[in-house]
Amino acid sequence: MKSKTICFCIPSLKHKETNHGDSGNSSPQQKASHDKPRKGGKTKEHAPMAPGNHADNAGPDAVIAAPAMDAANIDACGDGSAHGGGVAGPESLVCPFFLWEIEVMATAQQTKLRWGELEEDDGEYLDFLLPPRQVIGPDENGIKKVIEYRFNDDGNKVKITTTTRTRKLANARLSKRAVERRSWPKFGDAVHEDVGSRLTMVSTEEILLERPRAPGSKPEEPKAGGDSLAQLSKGGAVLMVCRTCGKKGDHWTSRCPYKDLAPQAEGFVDKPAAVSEATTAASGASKGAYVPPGMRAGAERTGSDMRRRNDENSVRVTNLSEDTREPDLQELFRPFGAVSRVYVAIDQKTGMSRGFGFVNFVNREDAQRAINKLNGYGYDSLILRVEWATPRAN
Amino acid sequence: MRPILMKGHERPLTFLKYNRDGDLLFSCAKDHTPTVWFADNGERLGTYRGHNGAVWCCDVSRDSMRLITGSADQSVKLWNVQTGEQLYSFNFGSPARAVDLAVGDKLAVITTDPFMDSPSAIHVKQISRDPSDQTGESVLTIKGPQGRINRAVWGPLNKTIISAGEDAVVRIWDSETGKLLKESDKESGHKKTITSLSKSAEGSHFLTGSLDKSAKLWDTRTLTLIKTYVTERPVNAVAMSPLLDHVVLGGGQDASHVTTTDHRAGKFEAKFFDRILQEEIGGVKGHFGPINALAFNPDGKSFSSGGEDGYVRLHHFDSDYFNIKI
Repeated sequence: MKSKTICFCIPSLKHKETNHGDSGNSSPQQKASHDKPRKGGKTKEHAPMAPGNHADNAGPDAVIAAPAMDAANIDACGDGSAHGGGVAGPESLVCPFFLWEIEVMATAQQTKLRWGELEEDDGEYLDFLLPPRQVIGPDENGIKKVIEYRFNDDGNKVKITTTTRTRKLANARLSKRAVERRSWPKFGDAVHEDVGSRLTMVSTEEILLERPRAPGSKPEEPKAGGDSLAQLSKGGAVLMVCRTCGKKGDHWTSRCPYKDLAPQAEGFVDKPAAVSEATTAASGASKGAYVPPGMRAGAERTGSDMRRRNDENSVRVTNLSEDTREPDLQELFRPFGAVSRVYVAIDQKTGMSRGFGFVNFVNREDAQRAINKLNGYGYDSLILRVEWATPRAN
Repeated sequence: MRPILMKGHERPLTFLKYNRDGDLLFSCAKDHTPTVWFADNGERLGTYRGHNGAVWCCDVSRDSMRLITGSADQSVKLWNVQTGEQLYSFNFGSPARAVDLAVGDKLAVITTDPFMDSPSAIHVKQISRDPSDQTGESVLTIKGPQGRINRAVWGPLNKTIISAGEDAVVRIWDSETGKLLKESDKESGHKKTITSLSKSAEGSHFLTGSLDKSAKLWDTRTLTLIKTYVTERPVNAVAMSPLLDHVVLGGGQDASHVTTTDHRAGKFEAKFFDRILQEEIGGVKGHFGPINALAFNPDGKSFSSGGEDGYVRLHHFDSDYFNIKI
């Protein structure tokens, strides 16, 4: 493909690894450019498939967060050296979408490997000549490649490829005078401006004219909505930090998907505590130390009695904060389905919740889902424990 | 829409102006070089070198040949737009704050700040076609308003001059005699410094923005208050769309918003209001600092904003913009 035609000068390259990632500006797309050479590095090994690489790198998968995709500037040539970089010009009336400048030079070893068969002296005489500048015009995606050659500071020949995506931002119908003005020469500080200067850039983000929200409603966050947990988060101020994997904002420690990373789960393992009775009086305040008889090791699970459907779908919630009340639980469990009854155990003397309560769902499946989702959920700065009220989940 | 970011200035922007054809955008900033850009793709055309102080304001003639800029270095300079060459310099005893060219480009109104003993003043100068004929004589000088005059513009048919400034009063002066014709009402007018003033496309009404977090729409001939737009931030810049009934306000720091965590581009926004209903239509975020300058392209299909961050953001509207309904 194109790479072959450009590679003839390569043997004369004295190589060293200089990887200029970007030329000074630290816009997000520039940072990503560091990745490009490495990616190109991988493709170097597969150099024989140069044509394929070329297409590969030019693909939209190349990039980053920036929605404006842009191709990696790595051309894997026959000798495995990879180059990138450069300068390109915007076209009038069309806005240059991205301008990148990456320079990557290959290592000496690979040169020798690849070009071992060739005559060593060939091309040395013509060191001072540079191949002509090539412009591979805008293709259907608007991608334009400009390939230039230069001597860099160390006297090495460097091939610079700039990939630009040009996109029409607006249709400008200019008057005759305006068209004349378009061809005015630059003056003042703009005189020495090469077209690759970064004064003018297109924003990487799509900015919208945001309609005003009704006061009190939350701004729409671009997070994954639809997750019921996200909907339930109070006031959006919960910062969930997981101790196991250290990831913030995603899940609490007890709900860490990477539970096996470190033995952190001690807190919630039920220690076989010798506590009695039962069921209700499980002074919900003991977190994790008390094991209801039905869940202890060796407990027999008897068949369920004929209970009212209601109690079959009863869910016990423990480790509630002291000011949790029925409406709170109602609100918390409503998203999972119809709730027929909520109860929060309140200490009559102090008026505060004793830390536990019960929620009866109409449907068992809803109850199951509620248990799955809310067990370990952070609510009012405590981690909830949600389980079947009669500890037999079929 | 994807705004085009132009970072040609190192210091905060002070003023933006489109030429009549809408293909050039002139930007003034506190760094001493006004710059001209192509308005379609944001490419820089050139800079005008010569000022020694912050450039506060500029105006361009209708044929886009002459640029006049007012600067804090106590001079107002005339430039050739195409070459960047300085044609003439008017010198004053105090920093020049606002400039505006009259219809026909034969006269210019220039305001100067109060400085040491001299109060603020409004000067009218003649601009001649041929730069060699240019003289520095004032046709008219008006003194009187207290405090700085932030903006002064010509009224319809150059018969009047409208000025607004730190004393929060909008005044209309006769341009031939210099007599004060009208003043805005104290109760219904602004309560704090008026920072900006923008005329409508045909000149029948104008919009003033003030640090009292509101902008007001006035009739040019009678100076009656027509509409008021209220925001949460002090208003630094105002602009009116020539195409739709929209008013844009650009503002400054509001302490209560400083701590909100918005990780997106930049939280200072230009707010769009419906001109007639006075309701907010929306906002365009993006600036990292208070917005100091706003300008609409005369074709109404794009606008640009300049901020304290030194960036000029040029927005070409999407088609949904033209279909907004409240």
